[in-house]
Amino acid sequence: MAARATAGALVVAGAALAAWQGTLSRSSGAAHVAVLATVAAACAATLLAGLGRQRSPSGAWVGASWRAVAGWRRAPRAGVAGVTGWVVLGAATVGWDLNSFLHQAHDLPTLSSLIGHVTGVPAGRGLLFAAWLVLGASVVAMGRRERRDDRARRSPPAVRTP
Amino acid sequence: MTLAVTPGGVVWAVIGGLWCAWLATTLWWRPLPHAGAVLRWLVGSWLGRSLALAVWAEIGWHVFCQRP
Repeated sequence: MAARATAGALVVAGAALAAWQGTLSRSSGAAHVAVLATVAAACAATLLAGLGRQRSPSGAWVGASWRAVAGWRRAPRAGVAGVTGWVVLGAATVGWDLNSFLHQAHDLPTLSSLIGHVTGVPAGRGLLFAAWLVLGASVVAMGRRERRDDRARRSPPAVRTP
Repeated sequence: MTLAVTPGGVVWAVIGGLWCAWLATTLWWRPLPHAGAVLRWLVGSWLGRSLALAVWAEIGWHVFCQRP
């Protein structure tokens, strides 16, 4: 119940912050402070929410990811195709953005200059800020393991009767 | 606000269309890893989560404080 109320309050606060951010310009000091404060809050929340709840140690995660890449021939085809699709799309986006940035030509706009057309309008800036907040909240909260003491509290060990 | 059609803009439109198509395909055909699964893999450790948080922070600063 308390968790639901906290989540609701965070959604309302996030919506208000995004609406306010929509009224600001990129050069305003308030916009800079708001972004920096949001990043600081996200870092603090990541640490607080993550203590004892991260699914795997970093070394094991790197090892497992490496073994998955090295053993791609034995992996299901759909999984390999899916990962290949994401990598190709990411590489195309980063590569074309880098190409446009290096040429600095009017005919080759960078991704951020295109996004600038959206953030130049208050509604666009506010909506994009809201999307950025949702993405940040996902990075902070997603994929957490349940704490051991929380699990024990939810399902106490069965009492044996003689 | 007017947007001129440039060769680079056309390439961005194609890339954007491919992103939309791929996102829809991965949501529709479950054996393919969807965006949520990719993010879930990334935040599976402190290292991945820290990297994702750093990229997210840089995107925010760049989009809302630096570029027009």
